[in-house]
Amino acid sequence: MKRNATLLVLAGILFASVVIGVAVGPVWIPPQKIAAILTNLVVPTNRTWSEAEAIIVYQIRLPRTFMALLVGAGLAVAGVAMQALFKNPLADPYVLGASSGAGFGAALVISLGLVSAIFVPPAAFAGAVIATFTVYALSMIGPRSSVSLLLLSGIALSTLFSALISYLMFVAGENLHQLVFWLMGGLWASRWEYVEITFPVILIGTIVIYAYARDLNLMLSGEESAQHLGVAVENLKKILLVTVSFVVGVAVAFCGIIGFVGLIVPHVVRTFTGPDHKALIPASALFGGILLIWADIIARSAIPGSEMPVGIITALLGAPFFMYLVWSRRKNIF
Amino acid sequence: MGILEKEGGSEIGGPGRVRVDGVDCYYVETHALNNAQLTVRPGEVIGLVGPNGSGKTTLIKAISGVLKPQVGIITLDGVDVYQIKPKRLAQQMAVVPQSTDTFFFDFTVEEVVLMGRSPHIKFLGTESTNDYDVTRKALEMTDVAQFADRKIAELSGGERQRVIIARALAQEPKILLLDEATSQLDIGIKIEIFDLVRRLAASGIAVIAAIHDLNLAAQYCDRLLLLNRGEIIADGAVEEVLTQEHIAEAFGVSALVRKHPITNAFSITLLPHHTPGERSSETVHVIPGGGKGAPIIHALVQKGLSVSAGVVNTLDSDYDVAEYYGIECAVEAPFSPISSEVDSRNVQLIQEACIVVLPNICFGPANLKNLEAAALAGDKLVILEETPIESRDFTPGVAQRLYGDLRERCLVFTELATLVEHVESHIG
Repeated sequence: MKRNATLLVLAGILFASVVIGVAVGPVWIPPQKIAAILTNLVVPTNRTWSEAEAIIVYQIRLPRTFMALLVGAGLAVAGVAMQALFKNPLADPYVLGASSGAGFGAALVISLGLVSAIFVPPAAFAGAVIATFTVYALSMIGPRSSVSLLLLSGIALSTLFSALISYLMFVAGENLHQLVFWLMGGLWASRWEYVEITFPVILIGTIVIYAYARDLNLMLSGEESAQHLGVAVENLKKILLVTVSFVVGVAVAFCGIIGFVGLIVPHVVRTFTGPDHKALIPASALFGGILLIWADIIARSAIPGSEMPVGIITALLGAPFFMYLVWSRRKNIF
Repeated sequence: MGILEKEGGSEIGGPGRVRVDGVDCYYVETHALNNAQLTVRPGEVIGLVGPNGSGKTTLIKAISGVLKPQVGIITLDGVDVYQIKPKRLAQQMAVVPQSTDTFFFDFTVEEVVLMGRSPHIKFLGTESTNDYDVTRKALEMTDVAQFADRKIAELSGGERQRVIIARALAQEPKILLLDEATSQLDIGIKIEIFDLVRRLAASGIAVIAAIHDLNLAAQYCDRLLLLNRGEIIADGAVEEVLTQEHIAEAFGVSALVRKHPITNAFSITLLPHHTPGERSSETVHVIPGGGKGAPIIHALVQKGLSVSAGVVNTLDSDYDVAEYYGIECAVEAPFSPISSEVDSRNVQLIQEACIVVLPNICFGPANLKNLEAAALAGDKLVILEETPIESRDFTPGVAQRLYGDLRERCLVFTELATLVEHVESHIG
């Protein structure tokens, strides 16, 4: 009951955030007007808005807000899965190299001038899969993977891919501007076509991860214990790493590298849902959506007349939080 | 080996029968298990004993399906354990590890025990009322029901381990593996848990437990496997396995193995390394009885002195100690008065000795000759008197009179340590 109430409250906040996300911007569009414009798409209503306002709501802000919701939710759920799989509170797609791998894949095709929804997502996904499985393979000792090796190789691979991305930027020439802007992480380019690709990937990814909620709970008691309780540990890792790669790949392809969402959200959500993944996964999805919508609102309104990449906002929130985590857990680790 | 042999070559067993056949396990460099053979029957409690690194945990891991042996096969009801899906295996086999991961700590006790039901829940399924019933029962059996809503983190180590055992019970396994599951717990909780293990075995569950504590293993197991450096060096009933020779081979220490007078279980006392120093040619003779001689014999031998003893009967614990140290001894059959033959042997030992020690023993008609023999020691006699002779005399005052005479003529000590010190300085 308590769990459902939590989810309901989060869903309510998410809905309000979407409305505010669409309303806020250089031009304020009141919620009634947004409602009217959207209603008009289905049932023709009395016109109380200008054509420009309709375009802003429907073509610009709505896809952008949805994109923020989807990417925030996807990264948060990916973070939940990785933290449980690797039993490490500091694990997230960013730390484990998936984001940089996806970033490199995407940067490679962008620097070749192939800036399109056809090329970028598959390249980003391929990069994420390669990075994730390289890290995974490096961390294997015998038939099992070691958590500390996994984190170390994740960091090594992140560094490698970051260097490769820098190299691409160095030689990018006329595509540099596009590459830099994309890389910093931003939602400004969001369009309905992107939402149409992102939505099913992240929805299915979240459902798959949720389907393994019970197994993720068991993973927390250690890999051997999980197996003794019937979890096919190595299979679970492979399924979830592929799923996470898809989610991260699509997020990075359209919005660049947005760090720390996958790290912060699961920790914050755990404080009110507890560790049970059956509550943690849906609540993290909702909370991730809320967080990124608000980060995007701040990114586009902090400096009037211009907008920051949303990655800056999440990093500004996330890095201190990361430090706080290290601080508060320093007694427990080692 | 008797029990194992009876199994013969038969393959098919009832449900919950584990068979380990010619299993070798290697870690990167080390040979952790070599040609392990084992058949486990339902309702049997098998203890794995042996020093650290002997392969107990490796064997548990191999059986539980997490460490695939390089050679050999482990079967459950005739099927290779490594061909069984983890979920199906977990429906039949539960494992209690030595300790639990700390990432687990925010779950409540009930949530953790309910996790034991997960092998029985279908993919995407939810817990049934039966699952909750089984969980409740497991909580009660392990006496942690009162903590059901508390977080694991708030419990003590012992309570936590009971919760993990409850989780294993919630799996309703046919085979329960305990990997030194109680080694970090207080003795009282150990006993509680092993009492529970016995009840589970009585209900048909096979239990395989790696146990550090030999006495605990001896008390609770039907059968023991003694491992040393990856080899099973003994397999059988407790008395077949826990012999002085086996313990010396596996642990490199000397041990005293006897049946405990109360529980009738085997009790093992590990003794310090017995390295006789420069034995003096001069011997100290101890007149034992009722276990009172043992500490003196032990102390004197540890000082490197040459010791003889007598007369003692073979049921006396003093006899075990004398035998263990291989000292010269005048021995009588149990419940018999000292025969003149044995008595003269004892008198001879007394005459050869340069000091004779009379401990705080009781006297009755059967051993009165020991007191008479002590009188022959003359001024070589020293007495350890911890309680007055009146309370130790079960003769009609004969012993008291004799003892009183002796007491007049020799040194009397009230503490073992000072007596030993005196003897040592006198000889040394």
